Amino acid sequence: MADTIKEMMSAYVAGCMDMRNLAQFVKFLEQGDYIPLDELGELQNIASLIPILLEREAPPASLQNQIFSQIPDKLVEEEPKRVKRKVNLGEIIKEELAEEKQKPEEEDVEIEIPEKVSFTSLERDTVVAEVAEKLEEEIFATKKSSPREEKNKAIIEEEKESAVEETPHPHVKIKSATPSEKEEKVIVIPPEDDKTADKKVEYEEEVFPDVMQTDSQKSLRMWQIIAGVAGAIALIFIIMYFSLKSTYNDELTELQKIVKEDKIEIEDEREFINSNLPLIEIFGLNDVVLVDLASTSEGGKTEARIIVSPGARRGVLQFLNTPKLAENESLQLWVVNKGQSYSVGVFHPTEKQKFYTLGKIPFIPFDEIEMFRITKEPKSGSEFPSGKTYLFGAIRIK
Amino acid sequence: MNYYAELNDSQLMELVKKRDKSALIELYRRYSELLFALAKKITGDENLAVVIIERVFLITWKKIDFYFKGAPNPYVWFVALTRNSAVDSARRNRGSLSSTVEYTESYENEYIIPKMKEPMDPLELKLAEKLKPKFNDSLNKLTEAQKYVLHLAYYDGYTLDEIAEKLHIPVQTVRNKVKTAVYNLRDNLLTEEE
Repeated sequence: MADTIKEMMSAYVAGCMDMRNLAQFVKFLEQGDYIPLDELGELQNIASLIPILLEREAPPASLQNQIFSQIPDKLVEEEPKRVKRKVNLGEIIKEELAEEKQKPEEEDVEIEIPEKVSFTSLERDTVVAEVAEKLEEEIFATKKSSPREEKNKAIIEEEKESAVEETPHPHVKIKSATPSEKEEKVIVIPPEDDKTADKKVEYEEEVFPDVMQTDSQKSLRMWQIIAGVAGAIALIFIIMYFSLKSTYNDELTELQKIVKEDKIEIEDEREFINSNLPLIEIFGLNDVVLVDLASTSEGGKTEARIIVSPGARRGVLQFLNTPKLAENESLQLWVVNKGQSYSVGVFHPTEKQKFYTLGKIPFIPFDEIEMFRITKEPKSGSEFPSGKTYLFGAIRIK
Repeated sequence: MNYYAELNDSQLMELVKKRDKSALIELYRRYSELLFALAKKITGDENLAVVIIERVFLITWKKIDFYFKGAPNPYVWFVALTRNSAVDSARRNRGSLSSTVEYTESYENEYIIPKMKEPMDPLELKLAEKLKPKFNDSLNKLTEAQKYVLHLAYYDGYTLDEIAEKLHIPVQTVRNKVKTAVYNLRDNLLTEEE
């Protein structure tokens, strides 16, 4: 297995990959082609044993409650409760229905006995009559009247005709019946369901004004409501629009910032690749040889390195500390064979450029090259070394 | 002894998947001391360690499906989840993780939740406890340099580049050191086991 894969797996299990490398590794992992998953699993197990050597320490006692209060209880425990609730509810409904059944009979009895109905005042009686009339219209509009209701209706109509006009309620003028008729009316107003009548009386103060509104008033009110709702919706849309606009502007700014940062990063990487391209290319060859060149002067800081492929006769020269040269000077690299120096190239090192391509290495068998050396020469270089040897080194690995 | 205490870690995780809160409570009972020590060791802060343990168990509850996506391994799940979460906090605190990197759901899924792939032998806390003496011997057989690099990576949460910068050595050397340390640890343990 390639060392690179082992290094990646080790860095992954030791948790020292940076975000970019980690994302790349996880991608490889998902593809499953490059990573020996059995070995990775083994290493994950090994790395996770590291903390087993730690001295244990109990977390604060409150932590358990703090965590598990955020987690709902086991569902299977909740189920019976729900069923129980349903059963209870069912029983309650049954009980209520039973009560409902009993109530009408009792109320029927009450209603049929006029003394028990608390409709003593005229005002109240006439109100009841009016409310009954309106509700009656609504009910009868959709429901076929029962004989009793028909009878009631007839009686009410009759009452209206004979009643004296009074003002029993601040909102409306209505006709009322005579006391004797009133009693009779109270008995007959409720339809067969007596509870309804009771409720009508109970809520008459609230129901009454709406009931007595004219069609035009109703229509006007309806349009007012529609206009109000439309206005509220429009307001909500306006608020949402400005809120979203602000949010999107922020997000856009954030995205622009990210794009800008990414662009800078890409540019940096491109520059890095360009400056290292000769090195990347040479490492693509499989017979790479490394030659370190040291300074001839004691304590000289400048060093250089030659990375060369004997087979391809190509190489790269790297200055580890860029030497300072005069305007009219250059450095020339030579190979020495049987005492003769052959030029490999003339260079004007700068701090920015790290690698220099060696494109014309002479055809000398590499095992016969005695050494590489670099001399200071005039700017355009020399046919033979004329300056003092500046750096030199022999092939270290053959 | 209660029902849950008799189950192994993997069985408890199966019950957690079925939304059994008591199973997770039992796992908390088993793992919390180890994980708290780990989180505290990495962050150096007791309060932060508490937050991390809370996060670990809530993630386990909410994202149990991630556990079953790969090779179910309860011990590695809890240790790696705690370690990743604690290192993330430590890196944020010392500013080595860019402040533009927000802790979001997708970030958590990508970088915090451990990825475990088949084939992988499941490890449980009980077995890890048994291996402790052998593992200790194996770790002690590493060179001081290997131990140091491993510590910087695992507990201090430094990346390869940061270790290289800290030790003034090339990144490639760090990669190699980490690899040697991890593989030697494995080989030493295998030898111990034999």
